[in-house]
Amino acid sequence: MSVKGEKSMSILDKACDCALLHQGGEADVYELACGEDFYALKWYHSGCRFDSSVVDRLKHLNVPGLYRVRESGVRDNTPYLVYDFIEGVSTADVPAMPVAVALKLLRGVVQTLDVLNKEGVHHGDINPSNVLLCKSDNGLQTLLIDCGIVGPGALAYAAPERFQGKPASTQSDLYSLGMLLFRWIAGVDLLESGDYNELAAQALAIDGVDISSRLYDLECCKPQELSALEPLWKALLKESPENRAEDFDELDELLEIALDSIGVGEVTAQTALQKYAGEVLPEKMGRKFPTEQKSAFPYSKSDNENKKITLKIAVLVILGLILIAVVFFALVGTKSPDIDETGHLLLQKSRSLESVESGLENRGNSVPDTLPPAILKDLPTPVSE
Amino acid sequence: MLRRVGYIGVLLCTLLLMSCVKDDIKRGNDALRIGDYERAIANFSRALDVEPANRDARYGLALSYYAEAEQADRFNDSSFVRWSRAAREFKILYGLDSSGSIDANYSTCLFYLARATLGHDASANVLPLLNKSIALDSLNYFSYNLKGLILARSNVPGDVNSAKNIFIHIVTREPGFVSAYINLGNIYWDEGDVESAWDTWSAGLQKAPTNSSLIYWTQVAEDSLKSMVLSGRL
Repeated sequence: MSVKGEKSMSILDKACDCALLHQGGEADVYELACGEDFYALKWYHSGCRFDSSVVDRLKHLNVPGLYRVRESGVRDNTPYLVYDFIEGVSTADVPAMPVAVALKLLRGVVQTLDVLNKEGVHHGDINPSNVLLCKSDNGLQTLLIDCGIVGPGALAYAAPERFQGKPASTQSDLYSLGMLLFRWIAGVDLLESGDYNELAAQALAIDGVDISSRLYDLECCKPQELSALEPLWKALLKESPENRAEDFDELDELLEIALDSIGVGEVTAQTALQKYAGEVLPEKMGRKFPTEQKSAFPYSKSDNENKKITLKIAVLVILGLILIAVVFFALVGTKSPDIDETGHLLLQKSRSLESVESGLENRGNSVPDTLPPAILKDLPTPVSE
Repeated sequence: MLRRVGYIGVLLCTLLLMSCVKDDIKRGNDALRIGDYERAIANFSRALDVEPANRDARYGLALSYYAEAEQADRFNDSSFVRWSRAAREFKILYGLDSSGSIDANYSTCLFYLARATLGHDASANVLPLLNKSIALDSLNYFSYNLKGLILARSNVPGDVNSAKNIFIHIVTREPGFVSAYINLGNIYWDEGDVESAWDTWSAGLQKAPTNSSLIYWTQVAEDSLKSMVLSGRL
């Protein structure tokens, strides 16, 4: 897994506050505050991880409608993922949507997936928890999170081939989109069971499920809407990948047709979106901060700080040693050991007392207060011989 | 990263400059020892251009001027300017190193400067220089001796006695300093104290039996004493 965060200062180390947002089966999600910036930290449970090749590619992508991955790695033997905090609400927590709203929102998801698909990335875990609703100029927009899961993902939304261990593909994502659409419209999952094998069996038998009848029984669609949705179920919820739509472009066209079939134009769809946004967003949105339960860091921040302090001390010690070496060199290394000895030799030579002369012969010629030049000449000096 | 590279660069430059200074000092010292004073002065000056407060380079330069001036003295060359220059370097050095290790050389340099000053201007007052020289090194009897000579020729009352005390101080602490015997005997002779003059010169003659002045004047004093005994004046 990538540990890019360790090269420069990690967001985990920069974070000054942390609050738990959500506890899931695969990972816990925290909100991190780094000054003015806010991030979401996905802290994986033991045994769970993400596909690092997908996440590494996502770090370099800026796709509309897709979360922005900032950092990933392993901390305290736990894989983690950091992405921009999204001010929105999970579609797992919203009530059933009007068909027009669901179709309109799904088109946003499909367009995002289409861009991702062209980058060679498949989501692999499309389910209501991984699609967030955010405020936008149009009232509401979708934002896709959690790409690159390892494993089948949310079982109720996993395509039959994913139960067989096959990797995520465009077709498996299309199947999951069908399940997502049903959930958004009906407010409940199409397949429901707590047992893995039972859900796998239900997915394999999806061709035999009369989805329109199920929706009719739930009384969430008008007949006209049921018939408009029928082509979508046929293009998405099929046991065999070959029987599903070819790609996201095709699905987008089918969604457009379905919207036309129920007689919803752009203005009507937009109005429905804004009305739905008014119902779900005001009471659901908002950051955790400020909260009284701060500093719920799931990772050992102090250890890392100790390491940094230790590193700083080590660097300072090394610099100190270099400085001491330089000072020592300046004081001792540059001192020529001979210069004092030379001075001593010169002094000894100067002060030898061999054969001193006197100015005795000139004493009769002395002038008061002065020393005649002759006396100075004969004056004993340190080197006179 | 860039900052670290900068630190390392500064350190390397410092070390390089230090090694250059060290090389200049070593070359200067070698030149000084073999008597190539001109080259010694050039090397020590170069080291001081890089590091003006380098004690060894300053000491080397002072010693080089000192040795050059001393050599010129041997050839009776005019030395006042040279000794002034050497004394100036010692004065600067004294500000860098007051540990006492250079005091003896500085003291001797001041003696030479006093002597050269008198040679330049016989009426100059060099007593402050000599006092400083003695303060720097109380074993510098050359400075004591010159001070004694100056005081012996002074007309100020008491100075002759001070001169006598100085010469007595010298001969008692450094009995090999022959000049002090001669100068002390000289004072006694001038005062008419022939007996003390003879005592002093003959004591000096015991220390320096071949000294022609002492031989001559001891004999003169001895003859004078004999004459005085014969004439009944003693």
